[in-house]
Amino acid sequence: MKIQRRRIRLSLVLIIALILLVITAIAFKNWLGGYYASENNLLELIRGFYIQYINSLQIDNSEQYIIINYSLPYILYCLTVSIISIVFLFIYLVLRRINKINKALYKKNSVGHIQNLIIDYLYNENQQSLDKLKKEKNNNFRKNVVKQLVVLNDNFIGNKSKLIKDLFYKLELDKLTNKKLNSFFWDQRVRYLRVAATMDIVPLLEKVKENINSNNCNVRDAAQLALVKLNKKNPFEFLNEIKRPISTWQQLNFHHLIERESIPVPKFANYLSSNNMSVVIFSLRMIEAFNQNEEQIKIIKLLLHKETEVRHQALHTIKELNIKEATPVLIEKYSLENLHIQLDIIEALAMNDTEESIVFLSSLLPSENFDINWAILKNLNEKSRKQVIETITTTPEINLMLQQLAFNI
Amino acid sequence: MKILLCDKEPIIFKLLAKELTQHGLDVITAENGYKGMEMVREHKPEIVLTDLLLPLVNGLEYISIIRDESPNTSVIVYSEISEENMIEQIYRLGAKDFISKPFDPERIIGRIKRLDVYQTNTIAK
Repeated sequence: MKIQRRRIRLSLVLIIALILLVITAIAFKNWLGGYYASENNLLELIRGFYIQYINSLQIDNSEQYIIINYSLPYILYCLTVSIISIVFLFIYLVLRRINKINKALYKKNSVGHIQNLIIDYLYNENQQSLDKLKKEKNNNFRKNVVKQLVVLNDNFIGNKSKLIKDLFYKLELDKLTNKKLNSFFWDQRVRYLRVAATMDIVPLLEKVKENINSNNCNVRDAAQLALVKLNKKNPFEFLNEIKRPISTWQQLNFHHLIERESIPVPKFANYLSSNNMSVVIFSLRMIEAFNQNEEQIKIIKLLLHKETEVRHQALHTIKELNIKEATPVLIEKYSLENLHIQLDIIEALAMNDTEESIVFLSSLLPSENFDINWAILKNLNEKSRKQVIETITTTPEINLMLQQLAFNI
Repeated sequence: MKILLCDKEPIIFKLLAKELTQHGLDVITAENGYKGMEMVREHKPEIVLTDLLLPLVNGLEYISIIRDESPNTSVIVYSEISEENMIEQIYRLGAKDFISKPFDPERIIGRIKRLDVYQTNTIAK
């Protein structure tokens, strides 16, 4: 909501600026009319050049008159506005540069001091150090304190970690984090979303949630990761609410977070009915990673999903979890799938190694397609392979494959 | 006994230095691999406690350089990378111990006390 309000405000400012530009252009033209009458030398000179240029264009006199009297004031206006803008832009860039240098200098001088105060507090619980850290209200100082505390908290556990969090709250940096989550700049929001997660600021849960569908991928990724840490009851609850796809990189981040932070693993089968394809794929991957094979029917049903990617992932999960109950569906679906998925089905059936799947695989041999022949022979175990070979008519290609497999063994 | 701490984040080595000096260790610090190499050549510390991800010279390279230039120095590596292959490689290069991050700084002294070099030095004193 806040982001939308900000956008409306920005659009209003742009419209007002445009109206002001038009008004000032008209006012400028009227004002210039008075100046023409006063025979200002500079204006006369510019006008002279302009008339000379228009004359050289060889257009008829009436058009020349219109161009000279109507366009010149606006051209002059544009020129003036451009020059003023360039000057302002230049001043802005210089000030920005100076500000950056000052910030860097401040950082260089203050960071060492901040680090010493923090360590002094952590080891001696020195009230004076705490007071010094509290007293400083400079924005950059407080930002650097946050940064140092986050680095420490990321690297250490145990008593020191408790003290670090304690110090964070004593300095009221949670309030700063809360404020920064409303920042107009996305990089600030990302930074403080990470701070909220690292420092475990649970009261900010709702505010973090507001960012999970942000247009900016960095903001929504940081918000989602923060939620996994902050929502203690149901860390992946947000999967029901996200509207945009989760990138593979983000999926890896979630997995890493579960393992690193010992986050309670939810039942990922609960998210298999999501409308968001990436949520389904991610859930399948997690089911596979955490060996959650209780809800096999839900996984088998996904073999009928309309999206190829989901079917492909479901097949992979079935293969990895060795879900034998999927055999009839796999056989039924085989002829309807593309070669890529067909090869996956063959692999899954070969690994299932049921009587039904071996009979089906035998029926596919010999195929005209090299990949199908090879997938069947390669993925079957030795015993099943022998069983299959006995029932089929071998071709020179299949014999060659068998020789190759025998050689590899 | 001299110990060299290497980490790209000064606040980390400052905190670890504070912890270790409390246990009577003589601590020196370096914020990148290159400076770390120079410190090893110059001071020949008995122990090097280093992060795996260092600027300028990467951690693995750093361990092998220490092994070549100061074979009596024991290296303890800490990192948030916990892949088995990587840990194996760290030990193969000559590190004596590996600690995965995040860790409790108060327990680091326990890991140092386990090293042969620490025990030999304490007995010698």
